[in-house]
Amino acid sequence: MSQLNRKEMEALYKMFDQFALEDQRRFYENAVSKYRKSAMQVNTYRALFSLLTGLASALAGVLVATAIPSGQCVPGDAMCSILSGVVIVLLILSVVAPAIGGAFGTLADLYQWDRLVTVYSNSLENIEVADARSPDPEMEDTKYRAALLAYADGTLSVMRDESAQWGQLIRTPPQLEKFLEAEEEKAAKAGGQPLEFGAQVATTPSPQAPAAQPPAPAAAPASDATPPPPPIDPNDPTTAG
Amino acid sequence: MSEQSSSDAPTTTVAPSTAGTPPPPPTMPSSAAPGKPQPIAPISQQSRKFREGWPSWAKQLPRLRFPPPDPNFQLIDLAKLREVLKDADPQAVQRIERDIAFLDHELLRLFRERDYEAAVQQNRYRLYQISYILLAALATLIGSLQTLALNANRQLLPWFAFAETLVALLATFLATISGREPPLPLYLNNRRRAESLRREYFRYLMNMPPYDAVDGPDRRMMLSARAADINRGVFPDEGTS
Repeated sequence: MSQLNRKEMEALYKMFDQFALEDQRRFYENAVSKYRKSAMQVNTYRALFSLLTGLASALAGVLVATAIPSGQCVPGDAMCSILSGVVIVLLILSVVAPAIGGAFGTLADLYQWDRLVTVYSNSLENIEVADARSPDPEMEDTKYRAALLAYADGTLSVMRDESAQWGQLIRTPPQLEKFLEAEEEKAAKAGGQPLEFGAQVATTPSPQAPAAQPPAPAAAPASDATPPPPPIDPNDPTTAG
Repeated sequence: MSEQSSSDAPTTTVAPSTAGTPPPPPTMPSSAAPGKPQPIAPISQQSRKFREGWPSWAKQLPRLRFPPPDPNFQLIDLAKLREVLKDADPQAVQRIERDIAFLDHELLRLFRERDYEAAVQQNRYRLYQISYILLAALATLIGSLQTLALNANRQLLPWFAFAETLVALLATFLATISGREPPLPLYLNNRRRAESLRREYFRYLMNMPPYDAVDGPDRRMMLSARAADINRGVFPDEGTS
């Protein structure tokens, strides 16, 4: 920053404000809105299918116990045939609905929408703190330079911390891993072969960071969000540019 | 109503009478009338009209065919930049544009590759995971129908058993083909490098440390070296920021 004159710094501030900070803010707002909506929709479907399962089972039970008592259903009786048909449909529904509900549940575990909303909401709050350090046009050059550095550095830190957090969330749902293990055993038995390719079929590695990456922090809940670095004090000659 | 100063024209004009003239029709609300402003989407390689009208969760489902990369994608659109900096010092704008032109080959080229590769691997990862979810739901369904068939129609049992075996074989097939170059670590690695390159792009433009310590060809060489390091998984800003 020591090589830039005032006009250059002002131009860079406008550029960074529009194409870095504002763009990042829009991304976070878009992400929070999108993921919140997705989580709400999928949760509604899960609840709906759970409700359908319960209703179908309960209704089928009531019909069998009361409207279609055993031994009293005469073949050829229209009402009896209709009720029997309804019971069959309800039984199928009570079998299909939980499978679909479970699929939506696993989808929500795969995408981790609720936790991503937390991460991006925190980032949105933190970027406001970075934006608050924007240099003021009335500042003299030394303070302006220091404020610009603090503002840009704060924004880049928010971006870095956000990347570190969501990286921890991306992992395979454990129920899918168990399903794959069980299916591999079935397939091996069906083929009459021992399970030799266990290492090959492990497509869902445990969520370990690669060796080249430094240990990243655990996904922070809302109350433990990593705060942005402390601001560079323009009045402190040791930190001012 | 101004008086015309020409010597050939009358010096005053009289407004025409509106008596008997029907009142003007009410102003219809324009389709572009100001209401809730449309949110501006963040800068991204993805098309903004992708799956328009779909539920929010369905828009995030993977694609079967991934579109080719956009070789002209820019983090900063030059036309918009000139608009934002229209009142700025022309020399400062020239400096920024010079830096952007240099970054286009040294860094943005790598960013496009990493960003696109991350998107491809994320899509591949989600495609496999959702396939497993569907197979798991199918397995649950077949298992439940098997239980129903025990009481209702035992002759269907072998067919359900065959269907279960088919599901197991399909799951194992998918797990085997996805085992080569597992998509999850590839996605995370590429995304991390792409985001780090994005931050480096702005770090260079803003002349933040370490770029403020050098100038001219040394500054450009430093950028090239750091971009290449980030591209291969070495992250210099993890310790310098």
